[in-house]
Amino acid sequence: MRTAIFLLLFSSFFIGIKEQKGDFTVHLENGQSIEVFAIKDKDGLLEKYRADITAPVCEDRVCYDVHIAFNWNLLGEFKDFEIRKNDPLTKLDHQPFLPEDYQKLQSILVSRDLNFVKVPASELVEKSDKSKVDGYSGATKLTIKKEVIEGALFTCYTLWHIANGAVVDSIKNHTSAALNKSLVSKIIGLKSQTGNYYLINSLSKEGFSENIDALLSVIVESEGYFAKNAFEKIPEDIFVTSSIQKFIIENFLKQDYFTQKAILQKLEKVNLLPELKNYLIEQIEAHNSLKNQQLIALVLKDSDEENFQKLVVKLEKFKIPVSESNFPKLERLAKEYNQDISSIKKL
Amino acid sequence: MKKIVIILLFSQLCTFAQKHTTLFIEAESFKNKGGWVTDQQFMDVMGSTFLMAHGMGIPVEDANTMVNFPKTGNYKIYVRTRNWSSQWSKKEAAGQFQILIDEKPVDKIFGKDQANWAWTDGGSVKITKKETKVSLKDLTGFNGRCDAIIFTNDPDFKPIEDVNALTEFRRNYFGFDKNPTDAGEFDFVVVGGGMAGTCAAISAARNGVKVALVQNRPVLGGNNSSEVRVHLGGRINLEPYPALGNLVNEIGPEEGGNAQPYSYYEDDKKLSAVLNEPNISLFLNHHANSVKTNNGIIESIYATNIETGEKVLFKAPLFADCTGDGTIGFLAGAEFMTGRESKSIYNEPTAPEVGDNLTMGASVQWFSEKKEEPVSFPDIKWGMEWDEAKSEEITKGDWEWETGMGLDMTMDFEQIRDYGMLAVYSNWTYLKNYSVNKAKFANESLTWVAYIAGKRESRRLKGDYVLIEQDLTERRVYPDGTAPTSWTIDLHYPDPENSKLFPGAAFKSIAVHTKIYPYPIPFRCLYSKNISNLMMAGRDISVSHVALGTVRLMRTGGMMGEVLGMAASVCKKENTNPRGLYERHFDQLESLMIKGVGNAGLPFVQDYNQGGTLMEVKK
Ligand SMILES: Cc1cc2nc3c(=O)[nH]c(=O)nc-3n(C[C@H](O)[C@H](O)[C@H](O)COP(=O)(O)OP(=O)(O)OC[C@H]3O[C@@H](n4cnc5c(N)ncnc54)[C@H](O)[C@@H]3O)c2cc1C
Repeated sequence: MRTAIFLLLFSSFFIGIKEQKGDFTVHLENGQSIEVFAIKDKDGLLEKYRADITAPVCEDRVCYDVHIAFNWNLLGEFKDFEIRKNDPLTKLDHQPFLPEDYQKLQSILVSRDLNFVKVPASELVEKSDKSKVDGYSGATKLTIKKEVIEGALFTCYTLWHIANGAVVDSIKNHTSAALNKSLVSKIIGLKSQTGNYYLINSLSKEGFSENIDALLSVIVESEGYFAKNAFEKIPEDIFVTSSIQKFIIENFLKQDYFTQKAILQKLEKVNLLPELKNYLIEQIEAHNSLKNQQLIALVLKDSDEENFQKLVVKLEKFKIPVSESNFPKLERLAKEYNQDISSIKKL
Repeated sequence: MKKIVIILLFSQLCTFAQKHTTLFIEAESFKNKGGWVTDQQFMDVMGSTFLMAHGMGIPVEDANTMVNFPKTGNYKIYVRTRNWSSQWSKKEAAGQFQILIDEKPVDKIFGKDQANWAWTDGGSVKITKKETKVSLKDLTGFNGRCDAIIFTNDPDFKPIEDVNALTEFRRNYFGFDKNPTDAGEFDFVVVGGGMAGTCAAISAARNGVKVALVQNRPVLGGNNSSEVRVHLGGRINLEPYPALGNLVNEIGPEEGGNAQPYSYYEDDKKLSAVLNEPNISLFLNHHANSVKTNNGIIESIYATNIETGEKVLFKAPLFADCTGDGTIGFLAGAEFMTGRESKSIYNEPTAPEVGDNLTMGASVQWFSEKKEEPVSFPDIKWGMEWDEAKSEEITKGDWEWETGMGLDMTMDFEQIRDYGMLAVYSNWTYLKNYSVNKAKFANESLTWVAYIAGKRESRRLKGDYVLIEQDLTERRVYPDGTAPTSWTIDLHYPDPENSKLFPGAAFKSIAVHTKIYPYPIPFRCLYSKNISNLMMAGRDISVSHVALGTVRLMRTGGMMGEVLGMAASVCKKENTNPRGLYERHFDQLESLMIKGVGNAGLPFVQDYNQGGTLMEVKK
């Protein structure tokens, strides 16, 4: 890690494109704006974003312009920075940054768990006339101190807000506009939770259709609530396809309870393959839960006689009660197929 | 005939005996408490609430009350007190006080004799008026304590030392136990008004359940109250039940920070939320201390008013133990766990090979304020030996001022709290009087030291399931998942540096964190395995020591409370107990959890102290 930062630090490569117009412009809170360049890989696919930044910073009434270049990935996550060879960042009293200061800056710019960035700039430094509450705000300052580079509080603060501010959404939008199958694969290839969430939040209906197989394989390997959230986002139409219904049969039991419920919810409005219907009957459990009622509702939805009989057998065998909302449908079908359901209880 | 004579004779004897007067005066019942505080934290151990002079170095204002003597004359006086600092120092006692009779001091200084709670003989006093003012006069400002005072003119009277016998004596003397006040019939009694209990009560009330909320302090909030000053932590509004936490958001403080000024903890917000619920009867200042069970079912509980000693009876078909200590479960005979489980029990990677009694500790937090002028602090002699290496040059003691790991968080708690205070005072007297940097602290004034110590862990009641480390790290999600826990598995250990300086008696801790995905706590961890109508929320639920590392956070506990309230409404509707709910009616609880119970329209203010997570978070 240390060497990586070193290399960046002393890289003489610093594109002098300040005057050029970037792929898009981002307006900062302080009224300034930055030009962001989209950089492509050798195949012409988006690779990352980059901007040269000149930001005025004052540390205790000593002001200077910070020159720095920032790089972000496709998803707007800050990656790293570069500085000009003879133009180091400085701290209070124009002391140049030390290698460890650059390292700390890097860790600050990528972090999301910092408290000081949430404090309004005007409250970062304590006013001396507030002596009465010194005990506590002094303590707050102490926590800030731990988070920042000593003597470069406002440099850290200003740069963090540029790196993690409005530019993030602009980058996401720019990437979204360029999303095609190859770019989707590239993002999936990042194997990052942010990337995966980015996709389910940005893909269009067509985008989902086009990439559904790739997305399903991401889901199978995913952690946390991604599978649940992904199923919630996948457009209903896609659940009509037999490929996804077969996927469900194969993978339903590998999903956690809450993902299973999300899947079942998506099936409410689509026609189900007979084999999926049979599969769903098998999933009904003795232990009562909302999932059970969801399963019963799905089976009752345009059920044929064979499905219905199977359902009734299952309900009777496990003594499963049927919810108030499912019960009328059960009764209707019982009448239609002339089945005795007197032993099934209503919840 | 003979019989009657004997009876008459006997009764004459009694009247004769009654010529002697013995008056028992509870300090906590003093009309005017002056600057003395009411401390009930150890009453299950030493027998009573007491008054304490918590002046942080400045003697507090006198407490006083009027005492009616049936007859004037000479009385012997006994005072139940202790010398709390003597277990660490043989030098002069920290907490000394006098008793004033109509403003004249009794010829004896109290609080400097025996180390344990016992009666100190105060000699003889002459009572000249039937209505006499009795006062407690603090001499030191360092936590002198008085439980009760006895005046007697019976030469044969001996005060009772044995705690149980003394309790019996008090019972007979005041008569409260014979005629407990019946609080009425409830659907659900919640004991403990921390975040967990407060949310449980409100949630139940809003779901149509008639609730009694029993809390042994004058304020709600538990560790999040202005008495302990711990800020809420963890996340709310998470998968798989995003509506859980709306109530926590509604009643939780807007500003974060441990050991901050009083106003940060918004006691009144919690109180008015409870008072706004017509379905809740709130019993502040009531300490639940006995439980009547029948066949593994709690029939009723009793609570003692911590100021008047009055006893109150609560009956209900369903109870919640939100005491943090699992006290209700313990009293009812519920199975419980303490300390650290060995690896062999649940195979947890973080568990030690051999189980032990190490719990996470308790904290006495504190802060100082800068004044315009220099402020002095007594050069105490009874403090711990201190030097530059030990000196902590700070103006605030946060969560890491933590002690008592390895001691019993219920039986040894007075010692734990007192040691926490001793450390604060020892450091402060050094900073103010000896430190090489004492000039830096010249204007600092020690203005807040907690006397209600914050606990993290004591008993965990056993449920139908015990949540363990692997459930959290391997994300073994169960269908009965409820409130999601999101904080890291955050386990505390004695600080190695501090332990070197204070072998076996560290007062500072370190935390070791493991991030997890938000994990829905199974409902089976929220009710007792063997007491069929007892649920629990907060830090006394059914989890291993390691799993407690994440679930103990107060936003999480608050959400468990939300779930308990919902469960209480299902139990009421279906006339079942928590296990019956789990087995047959869980779908109803799921629906209520999806719906939520708090006001969803309020701005989200719980954005401080959310903690690290593996979950994808929005910036
Ligand atoms: C110093 C410190 C720092 C911490 N840091 C954090 C943090 O940053 N964020 C976070 O969320 N958590 C933190 N914790 C942990 C958290 O505060 C506890 O785990 C939490 O208090 C548990 O909440 P609870 O409602 O279960 O218990 P409590 O908050 O202890 O509430 C229980 C209440 O019940 C009352 N009670 C007890 N027994 C009886 C009885 N017999 N009768 C009537 N009433 C009774 C008590 O007086 C108390 O008010 C910290 C803890 C400490 C000590």
